[in-house]
Amino acid sequence: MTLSTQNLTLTYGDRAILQNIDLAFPPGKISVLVGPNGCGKSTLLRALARLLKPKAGVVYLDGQAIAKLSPQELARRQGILPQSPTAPEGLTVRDLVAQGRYPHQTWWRQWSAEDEHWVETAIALTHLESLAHRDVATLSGGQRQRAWIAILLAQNPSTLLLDEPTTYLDLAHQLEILDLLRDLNRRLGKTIVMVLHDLNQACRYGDWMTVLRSGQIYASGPPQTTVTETMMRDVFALESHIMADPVLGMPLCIPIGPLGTTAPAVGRTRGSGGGGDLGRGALTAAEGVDIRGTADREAQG
Amino acid sequence: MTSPHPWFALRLPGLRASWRLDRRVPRAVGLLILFGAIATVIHLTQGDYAMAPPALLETLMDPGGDRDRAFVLGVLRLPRALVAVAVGAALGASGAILQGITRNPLAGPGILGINGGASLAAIVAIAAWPGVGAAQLSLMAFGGGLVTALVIYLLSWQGGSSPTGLILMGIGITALANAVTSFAIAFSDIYAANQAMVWLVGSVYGRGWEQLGPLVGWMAIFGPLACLLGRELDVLAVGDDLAQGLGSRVERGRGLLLLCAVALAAAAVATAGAIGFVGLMAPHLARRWVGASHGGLIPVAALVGACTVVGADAISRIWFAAVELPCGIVTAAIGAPYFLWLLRCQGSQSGDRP
Repeated sequence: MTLSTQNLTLTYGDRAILQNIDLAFPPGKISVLVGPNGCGKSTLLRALARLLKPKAGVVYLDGQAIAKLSPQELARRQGILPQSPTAPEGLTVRDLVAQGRYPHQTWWRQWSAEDEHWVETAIALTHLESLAHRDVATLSGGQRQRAWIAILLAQNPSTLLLDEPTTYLDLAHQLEILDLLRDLNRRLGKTIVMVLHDLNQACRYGDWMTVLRSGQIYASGPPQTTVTETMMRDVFALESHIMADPVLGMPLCIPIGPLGTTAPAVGRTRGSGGGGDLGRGALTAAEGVDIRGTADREAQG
Repeated sequence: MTSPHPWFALRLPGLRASWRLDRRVPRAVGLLILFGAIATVIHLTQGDYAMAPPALLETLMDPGGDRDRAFVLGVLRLPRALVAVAVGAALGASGAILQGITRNPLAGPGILGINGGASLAAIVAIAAWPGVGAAQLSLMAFGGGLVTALVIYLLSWQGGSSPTGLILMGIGITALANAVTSFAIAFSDIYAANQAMVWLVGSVYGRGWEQLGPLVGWMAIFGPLACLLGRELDVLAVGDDLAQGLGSRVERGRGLLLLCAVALAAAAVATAGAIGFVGLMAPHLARRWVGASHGGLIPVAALVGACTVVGADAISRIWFAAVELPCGIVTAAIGAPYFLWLLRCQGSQSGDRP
């Protein structure tokens, strides 16, 4: 299932969010949308999911304009998990996950054997078997996020769109969700497009990255070529140091400070009675990594 | 190890049709029908003119027999009891739909301005035209309820209907309607004011076959429609965006459901006045009993509502006959403690199912 856009322009009222975007997401891969706040990544995702009507341009799913598809037809092929979904009251996990079968049902066919199979499969894939009878409101943040993803699994589309699926979760739960998504991609071949804030998570889990800036695509490609120090300066207005992750090998971005910082940020606070020296020393000792900026290194000869 | 599956699956392989029903629903329906039947029989046979249940059966089979009994049953009690059942069912179903649409377990027909608008229309009619007929009063109240709900729907429209907007607008418009209603009562004469007060609290006193007909007819259209839309109501629970992502036509579904809820509630309020708490309590109780799946919730909420109103009317007619207590007072007397108890329960067991 190829998801692509052609000449897409999105506006909120008079405000232009994205202009003339041409994008193609590689099928069967995990693509990540990154960019600073307000760059339009959530808006783009909503337009891809047809939650937002484009001012101009077309979104294509497998060669067909999504605007021409019926809502059910689109839902059978593509699913979206919006940001911070509302937690309904009085629903059990199983009730919730069963809603994922909506696009495959009609008023006279509301619970086929296939529906039952997919709901149970979704619950198993997200390891929610022991929680299936519990009220959704009683789950922890990580468990609830797994329940939302289980809805998407029960829906069984070939393309999944996720808007910041790891926000508000602690690190362990973030990794749990991202590992689950990668598992779905590798094992079931699902195309995943997600918005992530954390660049390093994006590099670690993404096969393809699209960087947005002020309503335009700044760069698009595998993380190795997209995440560069120039990109960090242009898009995030940050000085940074990009290196290969010592454990996993993909790009690791270490932010240094705002534009124009010639020395590491921790070094600059040395005189202001903070943890400047201590912080820098601890970081260097623990990581064994040279974090000095290029100017600093030059100064030291 | 998973707990036993909570649903029955009803499948007709030949037609490729299938439905699911929460396991608790058949038993709940059975118990409620039994309870309702007992309450109705008590309502029909007890009071100032008492009769034994066999006599009731006799008179129903052969109305030409005992003329007195036939009158008491056929003209006074039977239509009144049936109206109570129908009104309770309509309010219960309407409340269940509204709580599903607004995703708020404290929503009810009252909050959507139906009570306020219908009351306002009725009180204006009573004050402006003393001695107005019951049929005209019903019609005006019905119209008032519908118009108010429409106004609230339109005022809360922001590129689409908004559940929170509906609630907020409903509260505001209801407050406005109540203020004007109080004003109208304050400046009317004592008889009109008395009639208005009874109407405001809700009563099925004196309701006959001519009220039952239109009410049941109306319910026969919107009741099944609401049940058919049960799965739309279920999918709305996950939020507008996700529901749309699952292929639901959110605005169309919500609009149709709102129409059903308003139609049912307006008909009930037009027939019996603004009976309080039933539209709020019945879905609550039903949800605790059979869960939130609306295919089962709407019928069970309707049955709970029916039992409540017929029970309340039986209590008010049999034990408070001298005062002619409106059944709305009894439902309020049950309702207020119920919600206080619910509040206490939720406070001490936060995290459990409501």
